[in-house]
Amino acid sequence: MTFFLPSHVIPVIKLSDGPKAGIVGYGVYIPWCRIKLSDIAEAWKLPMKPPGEKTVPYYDEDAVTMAVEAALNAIKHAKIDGSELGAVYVGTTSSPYLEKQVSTIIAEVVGASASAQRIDFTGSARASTAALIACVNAIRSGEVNYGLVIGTDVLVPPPGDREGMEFTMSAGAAALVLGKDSIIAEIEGFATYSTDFTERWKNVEDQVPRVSLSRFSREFGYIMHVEKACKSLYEKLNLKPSDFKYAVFTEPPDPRGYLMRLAPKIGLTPAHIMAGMMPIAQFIGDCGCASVLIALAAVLDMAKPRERILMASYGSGCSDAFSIKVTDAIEAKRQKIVNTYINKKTYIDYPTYLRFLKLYQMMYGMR
Amino acid sequence: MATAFPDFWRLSPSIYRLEASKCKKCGKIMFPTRKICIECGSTDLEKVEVARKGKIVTYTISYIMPRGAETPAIYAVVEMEDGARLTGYLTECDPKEVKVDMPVEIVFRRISEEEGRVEYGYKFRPIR
Amino acid sequence: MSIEIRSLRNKVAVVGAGMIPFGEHYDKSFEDMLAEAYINCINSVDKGIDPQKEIEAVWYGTVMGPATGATVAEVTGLVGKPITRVENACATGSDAFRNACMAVAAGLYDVVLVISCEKMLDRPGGLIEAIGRAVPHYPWVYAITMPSAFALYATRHMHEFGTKIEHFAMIAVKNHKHGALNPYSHIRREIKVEDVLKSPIVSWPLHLLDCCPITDGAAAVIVCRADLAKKYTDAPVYVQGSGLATNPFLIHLRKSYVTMEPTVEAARQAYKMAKIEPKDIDFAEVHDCFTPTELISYEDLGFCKKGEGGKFIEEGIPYLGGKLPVNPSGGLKSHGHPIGATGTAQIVEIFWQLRNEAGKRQVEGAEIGLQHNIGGAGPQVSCVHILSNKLF
Repeated sequence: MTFFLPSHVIPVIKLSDGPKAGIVGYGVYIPWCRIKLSDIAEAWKLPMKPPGEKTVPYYDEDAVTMAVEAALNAIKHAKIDGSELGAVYVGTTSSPYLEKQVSTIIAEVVGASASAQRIDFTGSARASTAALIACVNAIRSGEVNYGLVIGTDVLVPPPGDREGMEFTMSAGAAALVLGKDSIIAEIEGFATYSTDFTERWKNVEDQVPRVSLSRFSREFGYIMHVEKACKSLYEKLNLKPSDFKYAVFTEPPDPRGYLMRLAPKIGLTPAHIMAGMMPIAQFIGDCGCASVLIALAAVLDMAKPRERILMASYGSGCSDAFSIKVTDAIEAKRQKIVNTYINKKTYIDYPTYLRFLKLYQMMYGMR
Repeated sequence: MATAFPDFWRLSPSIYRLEASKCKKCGKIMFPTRKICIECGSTDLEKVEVARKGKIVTYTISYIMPRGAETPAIYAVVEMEDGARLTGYLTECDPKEVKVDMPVEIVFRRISEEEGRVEYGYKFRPIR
Repeated sequence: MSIEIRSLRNKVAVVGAGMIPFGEHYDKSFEDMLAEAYINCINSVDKGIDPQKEIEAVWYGTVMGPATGATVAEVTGLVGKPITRVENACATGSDAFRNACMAVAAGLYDVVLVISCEKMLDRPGGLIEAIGRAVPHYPWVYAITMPSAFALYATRHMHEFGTKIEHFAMIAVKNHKHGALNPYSHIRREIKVEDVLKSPIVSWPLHLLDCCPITDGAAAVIVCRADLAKKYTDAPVYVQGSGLATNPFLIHLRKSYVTMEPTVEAARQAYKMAKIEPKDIDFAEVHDCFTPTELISYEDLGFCKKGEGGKFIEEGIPYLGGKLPVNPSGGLKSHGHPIGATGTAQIVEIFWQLRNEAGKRQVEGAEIGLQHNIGGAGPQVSCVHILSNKLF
């Protein structure tokens, strides 16, 4: 049923309406190398000793290689063949290229057919949920049977930065295979709230991002947009906070500080947000487009049938909120992929960290 | 000197998806794909993808590499679970831990970058 | 004395040979080196030769040099002669020689010249850049350096037979000792096992001193029909056996990493043609681009059993003065390895040894010598010749 709506009226959709789209399989990739945050502080002789660690890509990894491993994991989990994919949608802000698609490279490696739609989504950490929305729409419209949605990023902070970026920015990837049948978690619906807001940006000439982080950007950037998106979602799907068991979010600059302030505004308690927040905050870090999907994967690793998950992303003034309901089919496909990757680790020192992130200049003589 | 574009494009099914040729007559699997069986000379070959896990047959650790390549670089001949053999570089492996018969799996990594174009390919990672 | 079909035995002789001292010749161009080796070769013919009249054809070996024989024609004055350029990676020098011998044995020519030359040190980036990829336009997934390709064999040999890194070092020590006695050698200083083990690792298990140097060089020989040899010299050297064999190009498609199959097969062909056995060989010039290659070649050439190469060098057998001297010239390790010229230079050394002209490094009573030359990253190709100062 289609009808024209004035822009301020949000359509109320009964949950049973319309074609379903959901997660058939999911996968993540978390780099093997980690650096202790206290080692970073020590390298700069900073007075604090922050707990926790973050991921560091190996010298031969980038957003594309991580996306491939996450995608292959998701495709294997979904028990489909790469050639069955009708869409390969990739969300990243760290493609090696300003011009050249990475979705085509990834599609080639996973064996998608030449007729599968490939799209690169970019612009901010929210690009992965933009890809997710597009894929849900494609499946609901009947255009696509199986779609691959990937969020991947290698965020490179300026060494010695005083905004805390070096203590959070990291690398990771996650992938979802979406479909109509055999779904383990249904994507019931989504809502968006967006204005033009800037707190983190990178010009085409910049090698590292720039930020303007403050209480202003926390309250009127991240928290306000996510709050409004979630409330819009509640209204659109006629749901209330108590309908949700878990809530996962794009990792903010200060997970505890931001999410604990956000939670009561959307009627949630710490119990909702812990399971999704802790693995990322303690072991992984801010991996841009991947962080919200890795948090989702961590929750799916433990969620039980019929539990509901609230998922909300944020980047550059855009927030997408989703309601995801786990089905009975999840037990047969139970995996513990996030912990498995988190536990496979090795620690590196600060000079190695700089080398792996290519924050050096190698000069060769002429002969 | 950069890899020729047509050459990489022709080889990408093998480099990306590990496509190989299996001889229908004698069963030998040869990587990358080809038209004639190296063992029995038959031209009756089918396309297969090699198994993704294997063991190291022999290796070396190179400390002198062409411009831009990381060192140390561990190069190995690996026999995959289906009998096919491949050569390639190892990743995420300390030179002290590599040995003959070590189990490894195939991963997709950056191999090199020339004139702004990234060349991706397969490497071997120790199975942990 | 028998003459047979499908054999070189007793049909072909080397009557002149010359080379330039190998080394870093920044002051000599490719053409300069070609000319000097040619002049030394012509002057070495005991009874003299008029090259422009008597040389009927030329085989020209080079890997990185000018493509056609036109350069050789211009530099030597042999304009108009048929000149064939031969290239077979590091086995170029032997393959050029082999083809010249075959043409003479077939009766097409009476007197021919083999000349090989390589200028390696003009290239920017050195050898590592030039040979970083065995096939330059191939994807980097296939890239491997020369030392790495041979190190793969060393690792497996150590794994299967307990061969030690010290065994490889002993071979470097031996070849330096021989090279120090050779005025044509690139490197002329003795070293000790500790020096090898302390030198930087190039590609484990190979150290810097396990690897041959980067050398400029040129060598030439004159080949003629055996029954015409006395016109040029009373001490010709006969080519009694020749063999050539190939391996798959891609390293992972080969069968063994402790045996270099092309060497085994080329040697088998050469022994069969000469109708002799490994125990009949008095001395050998063997392809020691890297020390493990020489160790494995002791086994592949039949000088000892498979796996016992370490024991062979430990017992001092391949030293000058030992039972079977290997690389009395100093080998590639010390004498040098100008890729295309090496094989021909090995023939020159054997020529001098078999005529008692090797000075301080003379192998006493040498009558039968074996030449062994390998080509490619890891052995792709192997070429073996057997020469003697006697007819069989």
